[in-house]
This record gives sequence, C-alpha cells and structure tokens, in this order.
Amino acid sequence: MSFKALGYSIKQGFINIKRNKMFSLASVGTMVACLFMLGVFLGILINFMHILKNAESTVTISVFFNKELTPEQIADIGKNIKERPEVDSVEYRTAEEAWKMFSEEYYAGDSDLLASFGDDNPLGDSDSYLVTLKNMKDQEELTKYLNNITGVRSVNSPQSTMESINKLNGIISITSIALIVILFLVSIFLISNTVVVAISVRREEIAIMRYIGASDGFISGPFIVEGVIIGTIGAIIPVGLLYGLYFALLKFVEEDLSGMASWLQLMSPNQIFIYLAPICVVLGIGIGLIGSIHTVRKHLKV
Amino acid sequence: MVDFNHVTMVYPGGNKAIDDLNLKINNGEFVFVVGASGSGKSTLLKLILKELSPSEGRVTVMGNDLSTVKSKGLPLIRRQMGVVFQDFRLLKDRTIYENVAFAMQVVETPKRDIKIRVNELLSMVGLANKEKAYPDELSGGEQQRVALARALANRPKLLLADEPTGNLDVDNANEIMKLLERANARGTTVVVVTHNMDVVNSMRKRVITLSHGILVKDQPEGYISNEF
Ligand SMILES: Nc1ncnc2c1ncn2[C@@H]1O[C@H](COP(=O)(O)OP(=O)(O)OP(=O)(O)O)[C@@H](O)[C@H]1O
Ligand SMILES: [Mg+2]
Repeated sequence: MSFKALGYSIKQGFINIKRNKMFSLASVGTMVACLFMLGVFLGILINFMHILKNAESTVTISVFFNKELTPEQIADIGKNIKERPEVDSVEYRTAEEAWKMFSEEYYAGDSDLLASFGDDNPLGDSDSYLVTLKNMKDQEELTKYLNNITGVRSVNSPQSTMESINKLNGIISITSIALIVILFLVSIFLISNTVVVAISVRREEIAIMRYIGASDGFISGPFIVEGVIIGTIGAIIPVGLLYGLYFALLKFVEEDLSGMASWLQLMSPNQIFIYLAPICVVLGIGIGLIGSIHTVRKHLKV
Repeated sequence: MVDFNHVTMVYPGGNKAIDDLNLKINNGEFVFVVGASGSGKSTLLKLILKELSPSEGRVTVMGNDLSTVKSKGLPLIRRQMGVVFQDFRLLKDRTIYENVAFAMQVVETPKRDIKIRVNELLSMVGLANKEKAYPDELSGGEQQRVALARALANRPKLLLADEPTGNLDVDNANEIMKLLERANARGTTVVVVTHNMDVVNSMRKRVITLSHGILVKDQPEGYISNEF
C-alpha cells in the first residue's frame, strides 16, 4: 500500500470511529478492562516471582537433634546434609543464637509480641543446623530426607506457608487467565461488530469504490485502521492507569507497610513496565487487527 | 473493446437474462442498447463490469478475457471504465467537488492533479459554481451531470451509462447526451442503455435491441419506432 493510501486509510479510520462512537467506546472500554486485568495479573505475578526469588536465597530449614547426641554424631549429620546436591550451605547454630535471630527477623519492631514470649525460648534448649537450599523446589524432598535421619528430633521448614502461597498463586492464575481469555474474546467480538457497523454505513461508498476500480487494500484499509486505533487506545489507557496505580501502591507499601517491607520487596515501576507496556500494546494492536481483518475478509470478501 | 462470445447469463433462481449473446463493440464506437423492461440491458452492462460472471460463454473487455481476471486484476480494468447509473449514486455526505475527486482519490491520483482535473470536469458539465454544494441541493439533471463528471474523471477508455437520462426532462436529457457525444469524440467508447426513443432517434448511432435476453436487432445509425 502506498504512503498516500495509508494516509487516506488513517483519516477514514478516524472518521469511522467518530461516526460510530457508541460501538467504538464499547470496544475500547472492554479492551481497557481486559488489558487492565491482564496488567494487574502480570504485575502480581512478576512481583510474586521476584519475592519468591528473594525468599529462595533466604529460606532456610532448621534441623533440631535429640539431646543425647554426641558432638561427633552431630558433626556427622552435618557432613551428610552438606553432601546433598540440593544443599547450598549448612550452619551450626546454638539455641540462643537461633532464638535471637528468629525473633529479630519475624517480630522486628513488634516488641509487645516479642515480650509475650518472656524468657521462654520456644525453640527449646537444643542446638540446630541451619540448612540453605540452592533451589526451593527441592525443599519437600530434602525435608523428607532430613526427617528420616536418626537422631534428628524435628525439622522446621516453612514448607506449609510456601505450599499455600503456591496454591493461592495457582488459583489466582487460573481465574485471571480464564477471565482474561473471556474478555479477549469479547473484545475481538466487539471490535468485529464495530467494524461491521462501519462497513454497513459505508456500503454505498464501497460499491462505488469498487466500480471506480479501488483496490481491495484501499477499500479495506480504513476498517483495519479503525480496529488498530481502537486496539491501541484500548492498550494505552490501561497501561497509563496501571502505571499510576503502581506508583500509589509502592508509596503505600513504603509508608504504611514498612514493617513488612523486609520481605515485601516490590519491583520498581520501570522493571515491570518494560515488560508490561509492550505486552499490552502488542496485544491491543493484535486484538484490533484480528477483529478487523477477520471482519473485513468476511464482509468485504477481499 | 468489448466482445461477447455465446454469452448466456442465468441468475440463481433460474432467470435467463442473457441468452446466447454474440456482440462486438469496437474501439471508439457509440452504441445504444434498447429493449423492454427486463430484457437484460442492465445485466449486459454488469457482465462488462464483471459485477456478474456469465453462466456460459466468454466476455472480453479491452483484450482481457474476464473469466481469467483475478480479483487483484479487476480494479485495474475497472479504472479504465467509467460508469453512470440511473440513480446517480453520489455520496450524500460529500460535496460535488469531493464526489468527483473521490473517483481520482481511490486510484491514488496526486492531490494537485485532482484539483486541476475536477475543476476542468465541473466546468465541462456546467457546474463549476456548485462545487461546494451537496448532492441533495442539486436538481436531478445536475446530479446526473455530476455522476457523469465522476465517470469521466479517470479518462476512461470505455464509458457505460445505464439510463443516464431516465429521470430527466428533454433539455437535461439532451445536455447529458451532448456530453456523452463529446467524450466519444475524444476517443472514449460509449455504451448507453436507454428507454428514451427521442434521444436514440436524434443521434443516429448504432442501436442494439434486446428482447428476453436475445439480441434481436443490431442497426448502424439505428432508428426505433416504439417506446419501450
Ligand atoms: N439479481 C437478480 N436475481 C435474479 N434475477 C434477476 C436479477 N437481476 C435481474 N434479474 C432478472 O433478469 C432479467 C433481466 O434484468 P435486467 O435488470 O437486466 O433488465 P433491464 O433490461 O435492465 O430492465 P429495466 O429496463 O427494467 O432496467 C429480468 O427478468 C430480471 O427479473
Ligand atoms: Mg435496467
């Protein structure tokens, strides 16, 4: 298509949208909802993975021993654990150290809660190994292995928390994906309908164009442009909204949730939007193209 | 220019609109097509335009066997034809100027050339002062002249007109015929479908008569005696 024809198509595409405000608005609105939800979902997912990755490097498994074990036996167990391929490091920790560290990490800034424990060390008076994993996915297997070592009294791993977070993550993902797929289909359907209306408004004009000898590309150009414009607007709005909201969220986390901030490390907006913005725009334009090209093929028989 | 070779056109539903037609129209000719209502005149034009494809036989236009023309090639052939419809078919939301310019726009003529040519055409059909008017603000004869200006915009080799004087009074009808004759004098082959006996008889051109889709008469410098 020539430059001139492209200019014509763009101009006529905008005219189509102006003539057909209701349908265009409905299409844009649905796309905004669709891509906004996708953005929220992706934002959560990207941050979630980020947090998990941070957590991976810090998550440790505590291994406690029976009291009657000799220091040699304990050292042996430590050596065996260390030899496991999935283990990153093993550290020996006395009961006092463990309690101090635990209380600092989990009750930081909450002295009331800490005080309620009094002088009771809930970890008992046993020493432990602190095992760090290379990869968190091996956690379940390693826990099983540790539990089976004779002389080990108990294994304390954050497994159940991780499991429920993973489960929640799964539920959120499936629901979001289902919703997004539905909204995508609705978006395509609405854009298609918008283009059908635009074509029917221009029926006469199209017939005349055909008699005059306009090429198929020239005839269908404005309608495809119309779809792409709707798709692009429908993508830019949610990206803008998400950007604003994300800033607000970051501020909220920083100011009001500073107590949790040690593990709630959100990514910077730029880190996220470098992925999110192109994904949304490509999807928006893609939906616009699919919706309009499909319709133009069907209704203009080009 | 146009060649019908044993062409039969049966519409879906079984209406036989053209029946084994053989017809040759030469370069530079001026031809009237007459016949009763339903005799197949419009169908004949639609076959030349390849708006319809014949059930049997072959239509050749400007050397192109239309049955072998692909949808990509069709616009290129149509650009060399101009069409005038009985009902004008102007775009109501565009001015007279824009209506004529539109024909040149869709074949991607540079803007400057469009301006020169449209002004020239509007003066030729006597509507230079109405270029900013909308079709609804014009009389039937004026609208028909706009339609003719549009059909001539791309300097067609072949001009097809389906009842171009159908709704017009005698003066307007003669005006249109004069314009068609002038286009013909400049080398455009003209095919005019008409019911108008006076118009045909005043011009003394070739007349082709159709009846139930059959070519029943083909007279050079024809004269018709009965109004269809
Ligand atoms: N789209 C169509 N489907 C079925 N039959 C059609 C169609 N168009 C025309 N016909 C039939 O084909 C025959 C020829 O029609 P056509 O329009 O060519 O006649 P015409 O000579 O132009 O008539 P008129 O002078 O009234 O315009 C008629 O019997 C008509 O009913
Ligand atoms: Mg007719």
